[in-house]
Amino acid sequence: MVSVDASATAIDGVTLVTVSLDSDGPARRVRVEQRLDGPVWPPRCEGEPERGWDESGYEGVVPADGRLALGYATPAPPAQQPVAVEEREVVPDAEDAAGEDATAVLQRLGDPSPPRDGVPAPEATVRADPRPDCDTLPAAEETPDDPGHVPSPEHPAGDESTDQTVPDRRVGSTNPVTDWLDGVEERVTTLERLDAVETVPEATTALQSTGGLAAGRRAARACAADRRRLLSVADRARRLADRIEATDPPLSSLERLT
Amino acid sequence: MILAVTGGKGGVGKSTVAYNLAANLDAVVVDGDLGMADLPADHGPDLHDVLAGRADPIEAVREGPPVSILPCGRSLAGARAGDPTALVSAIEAVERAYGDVVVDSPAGLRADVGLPLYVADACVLVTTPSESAVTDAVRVRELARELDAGLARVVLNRADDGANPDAVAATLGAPVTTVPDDAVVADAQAAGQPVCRASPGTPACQAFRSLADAVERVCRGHRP
Repeated sequence: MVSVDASATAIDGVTLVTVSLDSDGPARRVRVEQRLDGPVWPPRCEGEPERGWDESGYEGVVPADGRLALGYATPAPPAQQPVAVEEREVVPDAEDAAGEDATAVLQRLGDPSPPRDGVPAPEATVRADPRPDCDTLPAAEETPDDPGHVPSPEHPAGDESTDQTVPDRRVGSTNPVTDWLDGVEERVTTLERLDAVETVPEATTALQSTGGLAAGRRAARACAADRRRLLSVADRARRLADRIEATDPPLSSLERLT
Repeated sequence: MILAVTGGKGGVGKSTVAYNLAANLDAVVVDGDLGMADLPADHGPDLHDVLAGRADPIEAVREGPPVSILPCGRSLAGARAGDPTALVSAIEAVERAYGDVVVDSPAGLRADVGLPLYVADACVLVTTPSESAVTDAVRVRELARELDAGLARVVLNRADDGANPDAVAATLGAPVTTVPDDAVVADAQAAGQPVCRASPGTPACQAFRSLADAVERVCRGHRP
């Protein structure tokens, strides 16, 4: 059963008709026919009448236990009952006009998430990205070998004011300090393998397995920077450890005071 | 009741309108601007966490006063990590728990604008008197119509003496509430306060009250 609530209001020589159709049963197709003495001026999209509208009215589906709201204009003078509504067949759920769901909205309008290349994130975040872009596959994988990207003791990852290097707890990133040390270890291993060669065949094999001479030079440069930072970190770590050792707060006394 | 505050163009005052509307409706405001959150936030779970399934929507609501708010994270990585469609169920969950919800939508016409309109019972369109803002508002109105979010009210924000509310109402096809271009609005927003709390009795406060009354009248009257 579909109940009808319709009204017509004259504004500036035009009559605006509103129709509200409420269903308390299954989804049902209806035909809404203009009863006023004049043409229907339907709502338009891009200059064309919207789906369901024609020169004499509207045909569409009132959703199950739901509402269909319509509105149109006409030059005809208003009257008590501006429309006649004819109930037609019950519509299976799949044909329900209100069938668009959130996923369909997303597909139609486009994913609003920032593109992966637009997200300045540590490598761990990139790896953990659950939704890789098909159009941005060549993503930044070069950061581990770049000494400019490792956290320095003067500017550890968490110190920076932007979120560019802040470890993102939300996407399961690992500890940036551990990441950095792992990267250093990898580069040192490369250097050690190159250092250990004694014969030409050994050198050939080592260069092949470490990515060639250019990669070896890069690792050597990166390791030089790593060494400076490691020593600086070690120095700071020792000073912090000394400070910890020098403290002995009287916690039990403080506990009694509070 | 779920109400989407939208507008198309950036910088027209959607967040300010959403915040003050929520204050006057005693509703929860959800900061739906996933990429550029604008409403006050503190530490704790936010909408990014909710969309990524790491937090319950209700757990992420900071209850007022002055205004209950579900804030949004501010990192691009967070904006990327979540499922945008989960916004729908999150907003519905907040509505079930708290009653009325006002969603502050971002600029543009992508799904982060469409999804709040999809779940909303009605929308409020915010524009400034500038031609470009009104044009963008027309575009969003079309989207709102397609997604069955009735237009409850147009807000003509930062209206100075030269503004023409009648022309805006005619263009957008809905009654207009005018919010004056008054420093008290920006000052209140910067202080994290609704205008009617920071500067009660001002014309701007009156405007937001009248907006809330109008929206309530339209939406409650049309509820099933």
